[in-house]
Order: sequence, then structure tokens, then C-alpha cells
Amino acid sequence: MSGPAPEVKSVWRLIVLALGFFFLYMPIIVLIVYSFNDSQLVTVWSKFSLRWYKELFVGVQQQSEAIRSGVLLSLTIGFFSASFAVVLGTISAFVLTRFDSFRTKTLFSFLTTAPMVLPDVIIGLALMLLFVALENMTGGLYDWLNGMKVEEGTLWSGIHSALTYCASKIAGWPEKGAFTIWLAMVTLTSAYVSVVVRTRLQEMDNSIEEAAMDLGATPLKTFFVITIPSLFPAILSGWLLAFTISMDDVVITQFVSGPGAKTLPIVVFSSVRRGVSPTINALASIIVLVVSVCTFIVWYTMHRKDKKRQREYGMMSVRQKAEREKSDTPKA
Amino acid sequence: MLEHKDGQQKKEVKPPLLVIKNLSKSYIPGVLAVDDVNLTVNKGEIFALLGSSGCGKSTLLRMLAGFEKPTSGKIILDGQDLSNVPPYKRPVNMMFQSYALFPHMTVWNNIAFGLKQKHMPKDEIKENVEQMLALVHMEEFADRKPHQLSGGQRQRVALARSLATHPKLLLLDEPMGALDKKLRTKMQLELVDIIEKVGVTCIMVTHDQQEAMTMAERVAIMDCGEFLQVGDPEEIYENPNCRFTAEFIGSVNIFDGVLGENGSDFMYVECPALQNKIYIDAGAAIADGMKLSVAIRPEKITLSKEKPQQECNFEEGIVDNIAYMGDVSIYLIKLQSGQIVRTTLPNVDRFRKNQPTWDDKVFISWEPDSCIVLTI
Repeated sequence: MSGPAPEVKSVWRLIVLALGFFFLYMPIIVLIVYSFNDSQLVTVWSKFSLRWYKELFVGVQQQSEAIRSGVLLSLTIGFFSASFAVVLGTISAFVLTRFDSFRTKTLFSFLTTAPMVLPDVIIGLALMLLFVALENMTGGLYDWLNGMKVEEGTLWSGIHSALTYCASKIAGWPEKGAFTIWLAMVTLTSAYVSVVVRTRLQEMDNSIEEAAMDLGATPLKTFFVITIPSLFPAILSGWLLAFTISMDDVVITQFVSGPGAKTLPIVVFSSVRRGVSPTINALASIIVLVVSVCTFIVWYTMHRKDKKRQREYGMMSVRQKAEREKSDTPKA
Repeated sequence: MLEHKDGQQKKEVKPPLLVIKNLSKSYIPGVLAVDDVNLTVNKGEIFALLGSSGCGKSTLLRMLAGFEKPTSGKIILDGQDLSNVPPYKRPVNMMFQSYALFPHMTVWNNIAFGLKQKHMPKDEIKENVEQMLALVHMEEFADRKPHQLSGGQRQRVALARSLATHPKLLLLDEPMGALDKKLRTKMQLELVDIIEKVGVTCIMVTHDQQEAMTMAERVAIMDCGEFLQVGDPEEIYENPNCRFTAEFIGSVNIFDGVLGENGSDFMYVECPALQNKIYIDAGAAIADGMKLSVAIRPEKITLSKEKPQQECNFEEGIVDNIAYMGDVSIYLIKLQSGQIVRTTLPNVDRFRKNQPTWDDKVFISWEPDSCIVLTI
């Protein structure tokens, strides 16, 4: 057969398409449908109701409250870990691409990406052990200082009491909770940011920064005025990636979270063990809605921009092209 | 070469602006990218560094801009030693091959960037930028972003940006490298025009000999980090001092031979590839029997169907190939020894009427003063 492939109105095509969509979206549709289910049991349909949405927002059940605080905690941790990971990741990417090769460059490069390839279980375990060890050390320091016999009224006793006071403040640090989860998430996600930003940095034209320096901007100023704005798309996508990863991480968070800090995924997981409440369906439906709306907005604005650019270009072919040509000819 | 209106007379009175002394650069120990270069560039001069890729010309330019640190030697600009001055403190600006316009800034802001770094008052910046926009005829494009401009327009913005801060020295890195051929010739003339209007001293790097010869007053031929010859374009073309320069600039026929009979104002060269001797009407201060080469430019060789009335400086051959270029035809003549000689014939008549064709027996001849004697 030659020429353009003729349009085959095959039933098979439609079936395959339908199956594809079915596999992708059926679970989500089921979840959304059952979020409007009145029944206490997730899998048995009784009648339409919004009671689980009400329960989610204003319910006094222990689980609803846990979910609400979990969402808040996850968002907070996601926001702060993504923000800090962006700073660390960008710096490491910059060092790895822009600095002359130094002795441990390959090692450093490997170490920054290691959290991406290491199993989460290992990272979680390692971080947990580290935090426990730190906790023991700070606690031990306080105990040691506290137990020391000191003569009253000397200079040393003054220093000692100051030291003991400081040690009492940090004793038991870092307590497992939101702070340790944040640390763990920064460790994990800065690796992703580093990779994303590094790719962009590598394809960026070096001479743009050189031009800025050539025109009198110091290296530091060049970094903030030229490099960062040029990297902005990569930094933004790195931030979003880091936010998403730390939002829904379960494994590492399990290891480093304390009794007080329950992120949303942990709440969901622990509630599954006791039987899923339809409140979670309601929450999931809301998340699906929010994500869809966000995606649509991003798609729509990009589409508009594209259209606009195309229009501009189209106009250029008639008016501006002539203008271009005219301005390319040397003036008498 | 472009005729500089005030070229020849003024050249002598121009004071030197840039002095490069024994400048060397090596990236890998033992390998010199730039090898002991000495150069003086005068105020207001357009100077071209010409060489093939990897000859060290870009390294030299980057050392002038301050992006590379010299291994040894000095760069003195207007009496100031620049060797340890960082790029952002040098009164030197560069126009990059890729133009390196800041993609997130408008044309206006691109041009104003250097002035802002100098903490110039706002109204002065405005005045300066407008002046620059007018200079490069880009007033109506001030609010455009670089991606909305054509290649020629981008180049003019880049030029305006590097001229805005009134540098003492302007560096051009392959200025026409990103333009298509037709636009190139236009922009070459325009660029020279603007540079002369501003009166800035300019050093450009290029691998395109035509570009160097069109734009520059003086050209340096670089190879392996060294200057082989420095001179004005005519001198370099008509009087190359070594085989590399002769072959690098334009095309050339080279005959290897030994020095025969010679006197104070003449010499004969015997070449194994030629049947007749080459007679040159200039003396040589070299020993008899010395090996040397004679270079003759193709356009200085006359092609005829009849045997020329002279004893030397002619040769018999057959037309091996013809390349029709439009204005001229390039003839490749195969001598009896098998060596191919290149010559050009202007196409005065349409359809190459009366001109020799393939496999014709022809004679080539040349004037004694067309020969360039090369010993290296």
C-alpha cells in the first residue's frame, strides 16, 4: 500500500480506545461515584448523598479531623520542603555544571542523585537511625552536663550553667515529627530538583552569563539577574515535582514521622487498616477535581499563548516580514 | 578590501591603544593554545584575527575579554595592565557569536543593561539607549523580545548593547557566523560603517577570509597559537610570507623547485614538475641549489591556445576540468608532469564562446613579477 493511510473505521480501534480509557479512568470514576454514596460501606450503593463531603469539612468524627489536619500538614510540608529543595537543588546543579572539574566532582554528582535511585525503605531507615542517634546524642549531652559536679561561684560554674541551659533546649532534638519529615523530604526531593535544573543549565547558552559579566555585572549579580530568570521554568517544574513527591510520600514519612505528625497519606493508610471510610472518597474526589482544574488552566493558558504566537507569526508573514527585510537592508 | 575613506594618511598618526606582550595560554601543561603573541593595535583600527578552528584565535579574544586568564604575558589597554582585571571591570565589550541577548529582556533593556551596571542616572540611560537604537536603526523594535527579531536585527541589537557603555575596545567573535550568506555581505558593510561612526577600536575573530578582508584594516593570520603574518589584506594576499598563509588566503598554485642561476636582480628556479624554468625578476639572498617553492595566484596565470612568445614562465597542458562560476570559470590544467594548475578566466562572452573546453591543448603563462618565492 502506498500513499496516505486510508481512514479505517474499524470497530477494533474503538474497542481498544474504550478499553484504554476504561483502564485509566474507571477506578477514578468509581471512586468519585461512591463518594456520593449514602452508605457507611464503601462498596455498597444505597442512595445519593453529600454526607461524606459534609463529614469531611465539618464532621466531628475523629477520622475526619485527622484527615483535615493531615491535609494541612501535607500541604505545609510539601510547600516548605519544595521551597528548600529548590534552593539546595539549584545550588548543587550550578556547582556540578558550572564549576571547573574538581577532585570529587563525580562522587558529588553521584551522591546528589543517589536519593533518587536508592529504595525508599533504605532512605527512610537510614534517616530514622540518624534522627534517633542525634536524639540520643543531644539527650546524652544534657544528661552528662547535668550530672557534672561543679563548684559554686566560679567562672566555670557560670559557663557550665549556660551550657546546661543550652543543652536542655536542644535535648531530645530532633524530635520525630513534622520537622524530621521536612528534613527527609528535602533530602529526597532536592535530588530531583538538581537533575531537572541541571538539564536546563547544560543546554543554556554560557555566553549569556558571560555577556552580562562583560557588560559590568559581578558574578553574583549575573547569577540573580540573568541565570535565575533563565532557569525559572526549570526551577518552577522542579518545585512542583518536589511538592508532589513530598505530598504523597508514604514510605520515608512512615519511618521519620512521630506520633503527633500524621501526613495525609499516613492518615489514609492507617484508616484503610480499620476499614476505609467514605470520607476518604470525598477527599479523593476533591483532589481529582482540583488537579483537573489546575491542569486545565495550565493547558488553556499555554494553548492561548501558542495561538497568540501563531497569530503573531502569521501576521509577520505578511506585514512584519516585509518590515524585517526592509530593516535588514543597509540604509543609505 | 573596503576602501577606508581616511585610511592611508591617518594610519600613521593613530596612537597605539592595545599592546599585547608575550601572551601565552595553555589549558593542558605543555600544550600552548596561544603561543607568545605580540601585537599592537592602534586607536580606531579594525583588526581581524583570521585562522581555522582551533588555531587559538578565540582563546586570544577571550583573554582580551577577561574570560580566560593568560598563563604568561601582558595585555595593556590604554596604559592599563588588564591581566588581572576581571571581565566586569574591563573597558572591553564583546559581541558574541550567538549574540547572547538576554532572552527575558526587551531590546531596550538589553541595551540598557550595561549602563545600569554603571549606576547611570535614569534619564541618561534613556538618552544613551535611544541614541544606540537610532545608530543601529532599531527604534521601532525597542519593546520586542529577542525571539521576535530576525538574525540581522538581533545582531544589530547585540552591537548596540556592546557599544552602549562606550568601551575602549570592542571584540567581535565571528560576527557573521549566525547569518546566511546574502545577509552577511550587507551586514559586513553596515557593521564597519557603524564602528567607524563610533570610532571604537575593534578586534574581530573570523575563519572567513573574505569577511576579514572586507572589514578589517589589518589582518593577522593565526595557526597553532602563533601569528604567521600580520599586515593589511593586500599585503597578505599579494605577498604571503609562508606557504601556510599563501594557501590559507585564496587559492594558489605551488611549484616546488631548487634555485638555479641567479643574480642581484633575477633568478631562475628549476621545478621537476615543469618543463621550463621559472624566471623571477628579483634577486634572492639565498644559496644556489636551495630548495624553495614558487607560488602563483590563479588569476595571474594567462591561458592561451597559442604558444606564448617567451622562453620561460610558460607551460603546456590539457584542460582537465572546468568549473563555471558565473562571472569567471575556473580551469584546472593538467601539465605533462601530471601536476594540476588552477587558473581563472573571466567570462566576457556569454556561453563561454571561444574559450578552451575539456581536453583542449592549452598554454599557461605568467609574468615574472607574479611569482611569490617561499622558503618555508
